Amino acid sequence: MSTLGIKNTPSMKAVIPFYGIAAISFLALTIMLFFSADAFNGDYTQENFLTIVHTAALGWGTMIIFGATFQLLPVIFETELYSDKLAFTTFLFLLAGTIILVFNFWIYSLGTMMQIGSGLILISIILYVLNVIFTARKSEKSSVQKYFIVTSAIWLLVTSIIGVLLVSNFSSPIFEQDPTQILKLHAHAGIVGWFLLLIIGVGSKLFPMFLLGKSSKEKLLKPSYFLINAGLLLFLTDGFIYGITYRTLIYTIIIIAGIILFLLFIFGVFKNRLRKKIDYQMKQSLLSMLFLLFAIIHVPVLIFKPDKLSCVFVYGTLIFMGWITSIILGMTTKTLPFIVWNNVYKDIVGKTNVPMPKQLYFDKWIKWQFVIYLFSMILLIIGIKLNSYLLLKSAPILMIIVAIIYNINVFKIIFHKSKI
Amino acid sequence: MKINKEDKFFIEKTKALKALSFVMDPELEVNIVDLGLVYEINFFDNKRIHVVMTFSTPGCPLGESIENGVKNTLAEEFPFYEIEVEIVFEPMWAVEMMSDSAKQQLGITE
Repeated sequence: MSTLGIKNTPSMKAVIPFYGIAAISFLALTIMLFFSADAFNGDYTQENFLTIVHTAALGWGTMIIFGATFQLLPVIFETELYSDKLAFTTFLFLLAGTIILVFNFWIYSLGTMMQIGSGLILISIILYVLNVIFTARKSEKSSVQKYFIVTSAIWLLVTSIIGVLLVSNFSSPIFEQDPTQILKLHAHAGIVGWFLLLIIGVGSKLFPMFLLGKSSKEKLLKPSYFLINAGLLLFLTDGFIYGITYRTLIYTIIIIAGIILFLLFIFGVFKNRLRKKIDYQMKQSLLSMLFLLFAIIHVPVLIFKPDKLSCVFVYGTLIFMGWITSIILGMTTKTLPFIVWNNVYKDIVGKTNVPMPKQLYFDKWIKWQFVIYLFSMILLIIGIKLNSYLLLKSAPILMIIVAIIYNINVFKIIFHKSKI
Repeated sequence: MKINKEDKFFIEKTKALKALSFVMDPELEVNIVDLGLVYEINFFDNKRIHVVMTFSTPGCPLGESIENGVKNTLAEEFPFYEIEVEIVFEPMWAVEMMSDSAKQQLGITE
């Protein structure tokens, strides 16, 4: 019989602050979206849009993914998190850096303060990378998920370094190339290298766990890993030297092939699942994969008709408000209640009746969160395509409602106290 | 887990198993006995109970709670016993280990 240490749960402060701030950022993001309906007519490098994108990528996506990763690393790597203190320090730097960076984008002040903000974010990311690598080194288990997660952390570092250089480039030019070309490399190092690899790494563990399904296509994950990394490396290197050319399509196809292999894996899990009934959290997570697919369809147009702005905005919306937001909305109540429940009740379980983790939030609201979110996304995409001011104003109102429901549930969980 | 009627501690083991059927897996919301997580319950003459069990996934984030649940429940039922819980991952837990009732609760069809 093989045994294993089981005290793998990280402390509350290594996880909870990330969830709390991310929830507030999501609400702020939806409000900004409401006041920026005009931004969808203009250039995507304008201040409104850069503020929204960085709130989505850092305050919302990266913030919650850091927290969730610190919570899930022990489950995936089957060992304790290297350092809870390092995780909390990561949070402090990310919070301070994001507030400074986003605020300076909003007021379009591209000087020293913005450099400080980006520098703090870089420090936070270095700390995150160290925590992930040291935890991985402690783990004896070798799995494809481990490679996805560690590599995603390294790509995040690359993204952040490019970001810091781009911010410095505002004050004193560093790049010989057009900064908007570098911006595309920065964005895709983040979207593909960080978000995609991380979501595949974590998702390929969580989807089978929650659906009680083993994909017959598990072997597809390794080629998926190599294709995505090879495609991204070629895209960034060639893009840095020669800019976006017809070759970009070849690299994109390599990355898309990797994504398709992952989606086939997910389809395999879904098909072989033992749990036939799918809850709204899992529906929301599966919907996220559809948004990823829809986003990919737009890539050839982005390469050959980069001036087709509506397509750029639809792509960005599908990535940040669709794919990333949907998986976070789906997975939050699959992860957060458990760490809180564990902290509150672990010592009294079995001595008295305790509520189940599901009772820590308004479970029935999750259905409405899903439905309103879906409507909002449909209106938002149609609004961008048709350039309809009315739809671009109404869709964020629905998204604000989603964010309010989400915030109420997140804070109800975070502030849960035992009544026993 | 089945208990042999010839077992010297048949009554104690039955009592322990019944008590453990009130310990829930917080994620699946099904009790750990029906889930098939309890592999062995051993009683010793020196008032010691040794439970061998597993979790539905290695590195289970709720493992500590489930282990505490087992210890606390058995401590209520057998106040003068020393309780030991051993977590193992061989054999690895599989869906087939669930009782029909657990499968029904989870809506599992095979």
